[in-house]
Amino acid sequence: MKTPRSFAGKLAIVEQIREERRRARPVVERLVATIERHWDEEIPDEWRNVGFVQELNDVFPTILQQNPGTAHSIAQYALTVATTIPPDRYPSMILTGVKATAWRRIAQAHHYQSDYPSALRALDAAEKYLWAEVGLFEERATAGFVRAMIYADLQRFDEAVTLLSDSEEIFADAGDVRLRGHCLLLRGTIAYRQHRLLAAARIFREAAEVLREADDLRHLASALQGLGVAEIDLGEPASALGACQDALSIFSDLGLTGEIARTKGFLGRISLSLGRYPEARKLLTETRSVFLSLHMPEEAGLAGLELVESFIALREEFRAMAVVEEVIAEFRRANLNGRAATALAYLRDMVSSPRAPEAARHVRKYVEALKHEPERLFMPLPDDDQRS
Amino acid sequence: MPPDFAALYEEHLPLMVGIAVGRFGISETDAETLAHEVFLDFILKAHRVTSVRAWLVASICNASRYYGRVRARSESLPDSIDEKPDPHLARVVDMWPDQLAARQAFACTTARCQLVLHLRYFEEYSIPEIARELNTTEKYAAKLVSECLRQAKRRYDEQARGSKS
Repeated sequence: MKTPRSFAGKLAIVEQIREERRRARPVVERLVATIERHWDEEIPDEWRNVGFVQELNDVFPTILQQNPGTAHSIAQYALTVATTIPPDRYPSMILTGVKATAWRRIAQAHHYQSDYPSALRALDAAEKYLWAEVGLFEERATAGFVRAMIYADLQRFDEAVTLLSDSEEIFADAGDVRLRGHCLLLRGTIAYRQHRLLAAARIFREAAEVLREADDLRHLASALQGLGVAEIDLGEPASALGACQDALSIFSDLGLTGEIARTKGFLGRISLSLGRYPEARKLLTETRSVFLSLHMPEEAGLAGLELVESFIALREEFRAMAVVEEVIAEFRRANLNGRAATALAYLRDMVSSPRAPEAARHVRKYVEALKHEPERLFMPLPDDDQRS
Repeated sequence: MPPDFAALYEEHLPLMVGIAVGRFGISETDAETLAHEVFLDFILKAHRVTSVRAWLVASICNASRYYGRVRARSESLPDSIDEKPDPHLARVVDMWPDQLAARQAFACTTARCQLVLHLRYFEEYSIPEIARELNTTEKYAAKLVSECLRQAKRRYDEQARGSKS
């Protein structure tokens, strides 16, 4: 269906979608809790409309934080419903827009769970729809922004920055302060990944100011978390503590389980660097168990390796060894990068050696880097052969 | 107070068409189509637009720029085009009923099967890609595709029989 040329025609469509959304809201609320059951049933006819899909697309970001698996399922369900809507019921721009958003949400779910190839494949599908419509430039810019985030994680920084600049221009044209803040947040993350720590801290501070102005608490907390992490690496744990505590307080208010765990992990790292080992152990144990319950083995493994560091510092080698074994088993079960197994096996051999603290840090940094550089080779600590 | 869309429409539509025609050299008919799409998009997003005029002007500029890029990539057709049949339409009498039937058949299945069949036959996902998307093994993904095809055929036949009787 073409976009109606009359004003009344356009308004009628908008009113129709508004009404569909109003009816869909309570249904979607119930559906979120029982999504798995609905996959084996036919989609009811009264759900096959744009308002219903928009409601599903809108609940996604909150659920992603609490339960990434359910959020993924919701995005897939939104796409499935969208594909069943007869094309003659809405202007093609609107129907294409909701399909593309559902695909973008699927990409975000994969990205959140560190499955980059699937995230990029889903974004290809989203963009295929978006390129066909002249009007959906903000949606194209948002898809470009998500792709930039994935490229930043894959260390493809030049491509990420190019895409980010294009999206920033569109967001600025639309006068969207919130999305400008998101772009700054990504610029800070890229600077951090490029080890430009001072620049990263400066950009995260700027992002925090913009996001505070936009009243976007969720991303303000992420900017503070980024600032905290940059300050930890700059050797300023006391400043980092304030930023991470502020981030934790916002994430807790918002009930974002995954981000609460991640921030507690960073607070654990700060405690480690300040020599507060029992506190570090408590925070990291909690972080690890939340990531395991969210089926995020890579994140859980990294928290586990910091936990190993705290056990080594507390001279509880047997506990350190047990955690290393657990992480090895989890990585194997999740079929994660085999190179991590080599590094973990090395750490298992080093736990009882005098260089254990150094080895634990070395392996943790390697596994962390592997997330963004999957082809990186593991090298033991320098001079290891000579010392043994 | 909600914005008075009718007044905004009257006030800004000629301006948007004027920008698309004057600044980007787009024909008046196409410029009007673009302006209508931009305005529909505006009504949908109005709740988060802070400056209406700036948003509409920026949006028509972006839409016109994109329209120009798409047009630049397309080639003009030869003059003899009217005399030649479209090769894609050579088998149209067989193809369209098949495609229509496939869509109807897919629509009869469970949500899971609709997703699987959509991924496989509309998005051209490979079996390993479907397996990753559904977080399952390749063997199970392949089995699921065949089972969903069987389900689509069975339900479509049942529906066809039901409508005849």
